[in-house]
Amino acid sequence: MNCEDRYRRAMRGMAPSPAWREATLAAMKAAHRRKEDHRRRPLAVAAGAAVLVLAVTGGLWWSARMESDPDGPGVAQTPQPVVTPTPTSAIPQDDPRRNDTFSIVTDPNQLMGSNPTAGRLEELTELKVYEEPTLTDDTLQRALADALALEYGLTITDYQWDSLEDYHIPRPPTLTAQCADGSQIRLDGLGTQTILFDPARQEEFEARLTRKLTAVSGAVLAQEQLESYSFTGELYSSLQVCFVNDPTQPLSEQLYNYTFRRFSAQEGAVSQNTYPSVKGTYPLRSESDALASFHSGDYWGSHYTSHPDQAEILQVTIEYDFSPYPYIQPVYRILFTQNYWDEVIADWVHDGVDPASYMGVGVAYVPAVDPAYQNEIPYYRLFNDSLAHHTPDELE
Amino acid sequence: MPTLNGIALSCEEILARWGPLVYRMAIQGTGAVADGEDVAQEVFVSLIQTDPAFADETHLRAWLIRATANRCKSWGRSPWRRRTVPLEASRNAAVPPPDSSGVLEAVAALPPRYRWPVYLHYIEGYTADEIGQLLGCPRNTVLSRLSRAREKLKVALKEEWA
Repeated sequence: MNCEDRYRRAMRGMAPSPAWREATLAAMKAAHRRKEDHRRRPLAVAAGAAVLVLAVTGGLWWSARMESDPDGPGVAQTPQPVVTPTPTSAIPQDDPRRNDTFSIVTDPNQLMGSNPTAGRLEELTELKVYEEPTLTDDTLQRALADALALEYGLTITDYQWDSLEDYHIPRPPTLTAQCADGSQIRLDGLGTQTILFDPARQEEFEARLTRKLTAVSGAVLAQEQLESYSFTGELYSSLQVCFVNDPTQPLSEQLYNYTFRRFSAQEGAVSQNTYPSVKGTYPLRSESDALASFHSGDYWGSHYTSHPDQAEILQVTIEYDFSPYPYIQPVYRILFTQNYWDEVIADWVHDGVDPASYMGVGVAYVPAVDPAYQNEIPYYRLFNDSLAHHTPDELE
Repeated sequence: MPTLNGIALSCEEILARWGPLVYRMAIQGTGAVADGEDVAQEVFVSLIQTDPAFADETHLRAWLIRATANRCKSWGRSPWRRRTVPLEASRNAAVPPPDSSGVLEAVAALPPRYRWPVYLHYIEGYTADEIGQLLGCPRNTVLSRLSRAREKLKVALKEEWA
């Protein structure tokens, strides 16, 4: 038998196993149910008219990325189903609204999460600011990496340390530990620990972290799932977070649990935070003051809107931001939408994708500590290694 | 649900009729059964999520082929794959493929621009014209890629590929 025949025989001999068929059938049916659920939601219907609900990041950057095809024609393009026509956008090519960046969801809840401060911001007038230790060498990070490796049964084969002291923006030193099985432990300072691993071990890693969080007597976990979609209509990102949840505690304590007693998981990766020391307790600016800052065009984040004054606010919460090293501090997270993003989406979705199923949402961040203390604990947020600060000047 | 000629397709029917095509192609594209199974499942879930309407079966097959090729490509670029590399390393995870005395591995090792014409021609029986339409390149390009692929396979397998 020549090699061509062997190839045909081997390939045609491959048949899906019953277990795979069963699992795939279940996944397809679940996807169908989710789609039907979204269709039934009033918000999705409203999308046709006022539409677009949530906010988002980097949508345009993102779509440009997905259209490239470095490996040759045909292979990287989105499949071209046939019938559904792509609507034509009414937004002119040189309109500033075309520079907006946002995320796409099928329901705003997909980026709302389960932050305990939602709807209760008036209860918070001051919050603690935390401080990461200053590291002058890799001793502590190595010790922490070794402990994590032991905990997860990994064997470290190499360490790489970057002090980042010459970086133009203050950043914590990073330690990357390569492991024998290809896994990787990454520490950003001591505050954030991420482990990348073979996705086949997903359940094992998540189970370990769950046990760790629930080891404290009486600890009950809650979850949040954050999702967004690409312009191909496919799921783009999915992040699951588990955190200790005790509604009987004061809101500030619940926020602490939501921030530090938690882990997040994506396929092949988990991340957790350590408990830092307290720098001090600081007064907060009000929600209305933060919203006024956003509406004026002064905010942080990877999402951008050319018309912040017209934004429809969907949700405001407070969370802790790990960007402003060494001060982990509270920040207002403002979820918003624009009524013209449906047209932008319609212009950008790939052929065959029904834009009416999707909504655009943006997230803007405004520091929550009273601005009078900004010199003492300066706030900044990074995106793609740059300061992601939007100012009113950009709007002129 | 996706429709074919205006008629809605059930999940069961989709899987029964086009499951083997996507399954085989995904394994060929990733080079490992476990990875291929994951990719194939993602393709079918994506089909349900995207909910397209197909005018005929040719379009549907074209959609699946391109979606699978895309997924295989993304799979190879994921952070985990990039770091750990050997596609064959995960082979032990699921049902092993039939013995092919290295020919499957040799085809899987071809760059995508050579691998897919080989697969589509020898396994799915597409002509060069049809492959050109599926992959978005001229017929002559397909022919030259097939020819080049045969040369590479001949070297890798140390025997002639007709």
